[in-house]
Amino acid sequence: MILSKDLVAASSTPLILSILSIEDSYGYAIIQQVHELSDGELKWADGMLYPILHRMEKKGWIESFWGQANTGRKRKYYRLSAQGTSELKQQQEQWQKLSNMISKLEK
Amino acid sequence: MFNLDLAVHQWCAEVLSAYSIKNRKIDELKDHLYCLIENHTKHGLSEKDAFDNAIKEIGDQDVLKGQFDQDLTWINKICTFEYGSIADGAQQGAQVMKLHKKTQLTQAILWAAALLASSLVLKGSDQAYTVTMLILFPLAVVSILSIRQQFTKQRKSLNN
Repeated sequence: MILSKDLVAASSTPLILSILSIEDSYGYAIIQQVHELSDGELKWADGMLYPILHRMEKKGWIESFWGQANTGRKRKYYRLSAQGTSELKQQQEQWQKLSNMISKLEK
Repeated sequence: MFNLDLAVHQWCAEVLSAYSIKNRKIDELKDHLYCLIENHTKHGLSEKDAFDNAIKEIGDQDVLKGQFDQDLTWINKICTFEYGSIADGAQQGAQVMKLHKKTQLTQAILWAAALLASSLVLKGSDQAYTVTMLILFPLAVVSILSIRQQFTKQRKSLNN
């Protein structure tokens, strides 16, 4: 399954919000998780994620904080904010609605 | 003997100086670079090959451009307009930006001298406005166009 560029872009925000709703995470791990969730079919470019994360942070949906990796390296983590939680709920409803609409039209 | 930490440090220092970015963002990029390297070494690559591949991935995917173009200060925005695109890739960007910095300094000195000289010569003259518009403004346009052309050539030669 190859997703179109537009669909990849549109689905990135709800995917990131969903991932962060489970646990705090960081850029590289989010990319890996998306790859695994899609059974290896969806590979986000490294360049794509960070601008999205920074935009979501500006919107107040996620918050960042500095932590430490197992290796002792400085690492920037992201977590879902209260605003992000309600945004995720809204986006989930919207995607569900669209999916239902398409299903209804299937023969 | 290849020293991975030193190589990463040097690469980050080069990117930091070339793109005039914030330290906090280079730390995030550095961690991402290490994660890519670790993934490659897990798959059996040597540290040197893992480093080369990771840099290529980051550069190829324009992570720097996408991420750091947003950090441009107003002065860098003007320079980007003057010089053309800030970078077409990480390594190329670093080389071109070094040249940008030299040119910025030379230009600043030349234009400061030109403005000082013209203000001294034209002090109190009724024709000051006309002379400025007829000489300095066209001179600025020609200067911008010639610099832009020079940098386009430079980028092309680095691409080849």
